Amino acid sequence: MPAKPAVSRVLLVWALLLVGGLGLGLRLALLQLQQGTSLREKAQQQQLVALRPFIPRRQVVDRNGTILAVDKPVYTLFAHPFLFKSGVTPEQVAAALSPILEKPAADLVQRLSQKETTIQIEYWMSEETADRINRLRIDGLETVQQQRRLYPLQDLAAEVVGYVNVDHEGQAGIEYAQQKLLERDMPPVMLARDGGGSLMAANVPPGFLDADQASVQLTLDVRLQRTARYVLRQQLQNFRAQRGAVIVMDANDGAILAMVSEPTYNPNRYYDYDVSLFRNWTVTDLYEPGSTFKPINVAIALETGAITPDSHFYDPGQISVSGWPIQNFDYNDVGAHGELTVPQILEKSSNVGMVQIMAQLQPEVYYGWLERLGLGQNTGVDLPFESPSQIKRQEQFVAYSIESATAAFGQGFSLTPLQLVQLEATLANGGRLVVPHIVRGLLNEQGELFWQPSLPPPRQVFSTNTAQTVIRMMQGVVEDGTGQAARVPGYRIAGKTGTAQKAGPNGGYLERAKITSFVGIFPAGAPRYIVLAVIDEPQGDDAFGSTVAAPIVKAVIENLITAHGISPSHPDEMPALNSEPTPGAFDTVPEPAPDSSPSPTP
Amino acid sequence: MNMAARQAFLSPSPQRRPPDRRRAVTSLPLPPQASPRWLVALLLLHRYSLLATLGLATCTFSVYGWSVYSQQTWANQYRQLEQLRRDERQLTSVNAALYGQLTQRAQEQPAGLVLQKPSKTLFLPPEPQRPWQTPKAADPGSEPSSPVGY
Repeated sequence: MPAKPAVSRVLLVWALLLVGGLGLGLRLALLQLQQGTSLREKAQQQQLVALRPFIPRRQVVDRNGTILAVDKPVYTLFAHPFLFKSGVTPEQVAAALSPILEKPAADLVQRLSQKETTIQIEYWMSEETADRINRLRIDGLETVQQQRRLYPLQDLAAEVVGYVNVDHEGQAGIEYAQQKLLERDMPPVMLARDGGGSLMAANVPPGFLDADQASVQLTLDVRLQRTARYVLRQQLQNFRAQRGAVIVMDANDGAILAMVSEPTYNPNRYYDYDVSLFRNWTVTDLYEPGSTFKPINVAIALETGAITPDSHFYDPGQISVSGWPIQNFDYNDVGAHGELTVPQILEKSSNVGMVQIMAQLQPEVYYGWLERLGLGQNTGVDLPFESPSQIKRQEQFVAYSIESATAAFGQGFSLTPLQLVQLEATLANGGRLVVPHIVRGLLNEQGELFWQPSLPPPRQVFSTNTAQTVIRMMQGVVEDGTGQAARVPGYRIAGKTGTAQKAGPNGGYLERAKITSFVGIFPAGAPRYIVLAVIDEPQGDDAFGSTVAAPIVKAVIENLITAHGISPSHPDEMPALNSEPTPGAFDTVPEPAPDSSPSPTP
Repeated sequence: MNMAARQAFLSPSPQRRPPDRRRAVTSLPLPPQASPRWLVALLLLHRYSLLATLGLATCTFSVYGWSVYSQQTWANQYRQLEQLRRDERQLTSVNAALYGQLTQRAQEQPAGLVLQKPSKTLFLPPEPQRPWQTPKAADPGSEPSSPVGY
């Protein structure tokens, strides 16, 4: 049979192909059905990468765009020696790392021999350093990305900005209070990688590449803040004072332009400082405002019609209210002031005169006004840990006449320095109680404001007429009264000094401890800025609001004038440009090591 | 062709061999039969499907090549974007740190720098806005009568 061999050959080939095909099919089925799931997982492990794009905490900038806080990616280097390839010794790894980390190899070897896994070799490495280590391609080395908050201006705005801890959580200042505004989160995105390790464009979720570049803008002015801190520091040194604060606020909208409290801390190295420094005492601590509150009282008396600007009062220098003696600060030197007008009472800062003014009001009415001004509550500022002010209970205030008498010259109740600024602002802006705030809004990439916090509308507490009248009286304080140290030639400033006794921890007042302060309203013709300086426990017999705090306010106002280009209201008073200027209180650089006897500036 | 036939072909008997070969081979005219339609259709299908396959293969390769290329381009651009963002971040933080240091140094060692004072500042009052003046129409008489160029 000649045909048979050919057919068998064909059959053989066919059978081979069939078996081969079936075998492949079987294998395919096995791979797909039996190991499919595990293989898919394996492939995904190799191809998919959980990408967590670097999403920094938002930048914080001041009103001119100067950066106050910025995030920076940093890397921590871990070593897992059990993952080292066989033949790779810790010595070799250390030798490779040593030049990159700039650490002696011997130290690294010692570190690498400690444990088998998770040895932290280095932290806060820059991106370049991490790249160089990754390029070494040593198995068992791991770089983990983290964020680090940098405060480039160091301690300049620490009390306002605050700081973040190791876990990047805000602990103080607006870092704490505005967490929601500052933080952004994005769940990690699963992206496929190709063989070369590059990301695959497919499956990239929309918006993945758009970076949110918004930054949080504050109302703060860094230049003003710097000047305020500089002069405050010098004055604290001159008077060996415990602590001090300066606040500058725009009376029109409550925007805080500068807020300085000393001593302070460097938020980049917060762990080196005492915890008590992290508290911004201009909003957390209460004090008795003393004479700086007198203009508010005068405004209350004018508004209720209890007095007129032309009212006269006799000031014997010392009186007794319910058996308690009340005297003027200068009673021992001057004695009785005699007949005084209301502006003169403010100029001479007469306690007795103020007691007589406020005695024209029913205590219930007076108390109602203090409550209406917000005493007993807080200001609602967007800074954390604000303390509400404290005022006696109404029954006590009404029942004992000494209560309204002491309140007349700003003692017997306590508030934060910021709340005092808020109250003084009512005089400057025509009687409106504005909410102080520090966050101006969110800026987009082009530096345009696209979001602003909604603030409660200002509440009218005094009439415009009353407010203007009191401002005119306060102008006299700086021109002819106790506030002459704050005078700036060519300009008109309204102001009021304050030297208050400090309340002791167990009630009553401390003997030699006082708080001196000065509040300035500028420019008096068209009031806009409130500047308050408070110095806690200055030492020396000449430590008064006029000597300690007024020069600070003057220096800050001078800076405001030049920075904001405010032209003089009385140009004829300006000294000639080519004349040698009289050196101011802070024009000389302080000696680096002032000893126990610094020369106090007048 | 089977073996018997091959043998018969290889050893023909000389007696039966025709005297003239050429005369014996006559070309038989093929009957003028038309190919069946299905065959024509298949042949056509074959030809065009070949062309289509070639075209599709070219397309496939170019699309594949383009997808690989664009993926690579995207990956490169993404890397560049990351690098630029990183540079921006560094520039921002270094710039800010530099500003902080400079101002701090200026305060510690003023080296001739002083706090700006109002008494040392020149204030220029803004000039009042001038009233709008409609520009006068050019006087036709003043036109030069002859060209001035030479």
